[in-house]
Amino acid sequence: MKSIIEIDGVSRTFGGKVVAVDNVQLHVAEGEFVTLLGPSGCGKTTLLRMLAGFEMPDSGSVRLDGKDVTFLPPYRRDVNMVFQDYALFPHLTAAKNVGFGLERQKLDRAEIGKRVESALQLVGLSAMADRMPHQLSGGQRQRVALARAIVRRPRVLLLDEPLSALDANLREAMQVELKHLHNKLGITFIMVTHDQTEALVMSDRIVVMHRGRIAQAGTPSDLYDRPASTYVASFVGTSNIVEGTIVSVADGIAFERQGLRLRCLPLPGFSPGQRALAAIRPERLRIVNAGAKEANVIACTVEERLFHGNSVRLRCRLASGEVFLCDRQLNASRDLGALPDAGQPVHFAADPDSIALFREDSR
Amino acid sequence: MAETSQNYTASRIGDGVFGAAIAAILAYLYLPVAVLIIFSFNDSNTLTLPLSGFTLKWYEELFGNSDLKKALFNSFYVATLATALTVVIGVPAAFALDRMNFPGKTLFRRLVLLPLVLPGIITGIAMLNLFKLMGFRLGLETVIIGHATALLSVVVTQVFARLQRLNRNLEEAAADLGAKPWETFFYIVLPNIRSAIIGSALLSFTLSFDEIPVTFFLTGRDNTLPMYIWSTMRRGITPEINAVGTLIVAASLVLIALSVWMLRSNERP
Repeated sequence: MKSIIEIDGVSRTFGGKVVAVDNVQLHVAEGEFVTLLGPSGCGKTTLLRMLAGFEMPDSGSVRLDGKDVTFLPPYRRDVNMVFQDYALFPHLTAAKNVGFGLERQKLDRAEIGKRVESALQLVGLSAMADRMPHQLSGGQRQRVALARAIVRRPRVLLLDEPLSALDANLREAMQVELKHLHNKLGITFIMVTHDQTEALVMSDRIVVMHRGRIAQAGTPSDLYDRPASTYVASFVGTSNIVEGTIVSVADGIAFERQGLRLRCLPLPGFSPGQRALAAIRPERLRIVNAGAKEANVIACTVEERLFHGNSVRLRCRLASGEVFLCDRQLNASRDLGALPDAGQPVHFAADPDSIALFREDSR
Repeated sequence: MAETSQNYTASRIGDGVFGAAIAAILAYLYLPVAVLIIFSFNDSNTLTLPLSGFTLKWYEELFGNSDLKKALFNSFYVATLATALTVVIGVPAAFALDRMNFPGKTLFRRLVLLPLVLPGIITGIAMLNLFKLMGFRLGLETVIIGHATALLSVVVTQVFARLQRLNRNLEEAAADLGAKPWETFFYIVLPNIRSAIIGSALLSFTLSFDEIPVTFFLTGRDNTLPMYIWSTMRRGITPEINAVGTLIVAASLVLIALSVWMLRSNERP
């Protein structure tokens, strides 16, 4: 598929020392839903703002549909943005807010009216056309902002933490709605968020950013199941990370940490004696009996049992001192009694394919 | 039962004291204005009670007094142009303070504010010296310049404060929606700071209209209304002056109503 956005070697430094974006390379296919994910200060917002034209890179280039737009002002770019705080014009009605971009295109009144109406209808706000922004609820304002951004039929829609100001229930509903809207419009969506659940649910592809660089880019399941670093493993989902040494690479890799020996799948790039990190998802652990004949048995002590409604998280501690988490889905009988209590010893088994190994420098 | 009636009496006394306090405050604020208005219609040359009868003759005399009419016109001329000047200089200055970073910005902001707290008599003498030095002829125009320097701070502070509260994302959103910088200014920024500009302009107008110290030093032989009233006062308060005062009160009320209406229509266009 052809690339609608080509970001090549883009860097941006603030105040001569803070490197916000560091040599980023990212191509986005037409119609893709890409999420830039990372903690605050990772450069995701700066990257988005360079796509919108609010920031100019110090080096590198940004192409939109093959055309170099690196230094084009925002009002000459075929992209529109949904702002985190919505940035609705407080002195204009919802309909006037939505129509603002069309008026700048010098379309005739009838055409503007028609398109504003259909955009408001698309976000389910036809009845609120004449309300002022301060008369709308947070969710309604969000929809106006969305309608205002899509009414110009941009090639790319930019979303800056679009759901962060909504309460939890509404946020979940809007995640689904935004995804439907993406399917319906067929245009490219670039979203910025620090919420990994949001990113996993909504995106075709997630770009995890770390200190201005791309830590990993891939589909949600790629990132979750095959994280490229412990940073990604712990930022996308939760991971138990144990530091240890490689003791053997024959017949799979053997990893050791103070009485804990793990057998992992064969992987190139490791040699005996090397320091390494092992990451295991909490939900991949099985509870087994003390003397079980399993490949990787991990002995811990339960410190806390946290009830999550549909699952229970066991917060345990390894003999070597690390915190170790295990998530158990509650089945139909909801048998909490079968799970060990706080203070009790517990044994987990981790299948070799559930352990991700990283070189120590991959952090 | 007895207790409740006691409470009732106590609360009635309380209400009475409260009402009297309100009446006293209002009387303190508005009794002088009421006296002014009443005596402007009183058929007597002197300000003495009892009232002797209703007349409009002081208003007739007022309109026959060419000196007074000239002074009134001069005051409007000065206040209008001084206000226009402060808005034309003050609004861009407020933008510069809000948007730009330049060396000495804080100093600039303090210096712009200084004329407001500087006693008018100092501004007056200082500008008189300067105009003399530069060989300007004193007249209403020098008064306008004098007023504008002091009033500039009124406009700058008001507009600057509003700009500080204006969400900068609005301008980015406008640009994002295809608005060129001038369109963003006229369609987004200006409507959101309009009330601050109008409000500070009205305040400047009234401050300029009744200004005496600066005017005293900078006007040549031309009189503004406050100057004229002040000069005639040396012969005592005439009913004619009361009539002028009443007209000014009426005009002020109209201006206040106008500004309230404009600010409200700004909120809900």
